[in-house]
Amino acid sequence: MLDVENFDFSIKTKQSPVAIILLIWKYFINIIRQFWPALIALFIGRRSGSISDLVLLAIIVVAVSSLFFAIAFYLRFSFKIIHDELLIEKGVFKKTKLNIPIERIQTLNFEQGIIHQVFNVVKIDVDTAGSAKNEFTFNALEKDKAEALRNLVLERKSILSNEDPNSLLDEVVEKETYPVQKVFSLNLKELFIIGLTQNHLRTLVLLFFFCLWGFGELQDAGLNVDFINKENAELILNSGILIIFGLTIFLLMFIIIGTAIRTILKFYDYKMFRVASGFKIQSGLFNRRENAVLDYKIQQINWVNNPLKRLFKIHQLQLKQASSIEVSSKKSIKIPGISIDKINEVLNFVLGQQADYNEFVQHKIEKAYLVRMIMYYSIFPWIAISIGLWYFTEEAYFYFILFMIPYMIISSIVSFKKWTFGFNNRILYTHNGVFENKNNIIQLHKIQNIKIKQSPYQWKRNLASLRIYTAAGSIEIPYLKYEHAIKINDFLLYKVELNSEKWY
Amino acid sequence: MDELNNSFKNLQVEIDHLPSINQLNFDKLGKKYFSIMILNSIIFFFIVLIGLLYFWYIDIKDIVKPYFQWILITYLLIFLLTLFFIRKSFEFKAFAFRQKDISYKSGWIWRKITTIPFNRVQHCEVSQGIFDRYFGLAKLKIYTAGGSSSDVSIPGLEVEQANDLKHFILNKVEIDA
Repeated sequence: MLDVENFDFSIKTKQSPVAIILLIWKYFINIIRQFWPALIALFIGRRSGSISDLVLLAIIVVAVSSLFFAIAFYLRFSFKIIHDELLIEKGVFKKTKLNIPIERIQTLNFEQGIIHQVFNVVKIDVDTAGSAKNEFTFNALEKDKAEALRNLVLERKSILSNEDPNSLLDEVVEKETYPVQKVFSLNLKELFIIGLTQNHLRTLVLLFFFCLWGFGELQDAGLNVDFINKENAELILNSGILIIFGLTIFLLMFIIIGTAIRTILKFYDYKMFRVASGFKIQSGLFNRRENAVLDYKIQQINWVNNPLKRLFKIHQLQLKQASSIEVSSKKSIKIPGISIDKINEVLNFVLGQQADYNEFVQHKIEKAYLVRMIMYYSIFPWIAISIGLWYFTEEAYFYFILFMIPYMIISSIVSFKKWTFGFNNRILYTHNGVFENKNNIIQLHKIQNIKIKQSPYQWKRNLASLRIYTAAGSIEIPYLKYEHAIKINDFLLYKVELNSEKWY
Repeated sequence: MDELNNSFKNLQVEIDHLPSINQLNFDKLGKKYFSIMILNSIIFFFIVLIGLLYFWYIDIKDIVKPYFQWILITYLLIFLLTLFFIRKSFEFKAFAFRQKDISYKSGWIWRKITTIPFNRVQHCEVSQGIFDRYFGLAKLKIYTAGGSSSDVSIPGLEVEQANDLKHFILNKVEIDA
């Protein structure tokens, strides 16, 4: 352990001067992000000298002002620890003082980008209980100083919480800095497989919409986009199915390679450690992150695979956390590729001996779900749409919409067959999906509230759906018999109401 | 049924002996709240009516004027339907307190019952709209960490009743904590 005495945090302390470089970079990126279509348009469409002068001027103004802001921010920023409170002063024009009581601090998460790594500094995210307003980031602090700060905070915190018998559970945080046992790691080959098996179709769709959006932005920025017109589009269409097919393949290859590279960068040298009462996770090549998850903050655990991932027998595991009361998705921990054995190991850590979800009696949902899905989602709407189109356009080639019907029927059947759930005294397990296999576990004492819902179709047939809310999202069990829904509801409520375990 | 009961066998408590929300006596909302709902929809009706009449007034080219009586009749029918819907859905709004939780049910066509255990309540508040103040009513809102779609708000309570309930809940929350 580091000698805390080396640094005196009771006097005003500044960040590392490296913060200036990082801040300039941050402002610069922010400006680029706002104006990138305009910039591209200017670069492509340089027509007259006056415009490029203007560009030069704008760049100088932006550079000078971001330099000014970065230096001002650095000079006006300081922190100290007095009376078990982290005091932060900051603000360029308006001075802001932030008091964070140490016992409210959950963890200090470290992160290192390339610049951080070069100068041996770290970025610190201060994660606090309570509102998101109190969450705070140090841009750059020398690594040894940062570690001393973290040790000091966690030590004080554990002392403070020991004084308060109600929050003895917080004590676990103290030991958090010591890696105990490596649970899981990913090597390059595994990362490559993970990148290969991501959902590329979704990326394709996202890329398509992104292109549409970027195209509109470019047009707004005054770029000449006349070359994309009807004749050219028809030219491409007429040039034959082979070329379209080729283009699609090319795009898909591009996406697959891109996703693989992104996955490797993001999850490079992925390591997961079991610490006293939680997990510590390190990952990233250029941007190295270190995150801590505490068991009692995990609200939901889910793991998903798709047909590609099934080939390699891997799942994506997510530990959904409640951080602040306003839960943000960035707080959930994603493990991109993990075998089912390792998942069970993680579950054993979090849930103890109660994780035998495989031995539960698996309940199915009611057949009415299938009937409903087939009638109201697979057949009627598509027939209605194709009849409507035929009526209005009087052209018959909209029959191809009817191909949706068999597709939807098959996915309804698969979805119905996959839907199962089971529970014991401690956890609720659900399994569903169409192409994917989604598995979800909620610890019963993490449940916030429960809703029983009935559509007209359901109440006429004495059926109901059950939606179970946690602090990190909800899950719906559809189409149960009404009496069963009531019974499960009663049981879950009974479990929540008699439980005094800490849920956050 | 049997299958479900079987999986409960290992549990400490017989599921049939658990307190069930099926046996709850739900309290319906006060009649005054029905008046407020009706009043609200009548005001909305007249605002839209004025808009329609203005539209009729500026329509010099007689595009919709020939059909205007039909538009009015349709609108009136929709309004009557809304009143009927309000009447029906009012019947279905009800709440029930137990020692450890509160349930609120609503909806005539799409029905739902939400139950919030007191040991999961984040905070609760009492609020009053303009008509609420006139009729001496208030709305009780109960928040949990489950997100806004799962929070419960019970309208049409007497002000004292709402405040009492709020204190009752906050007391429970404190005891549990």
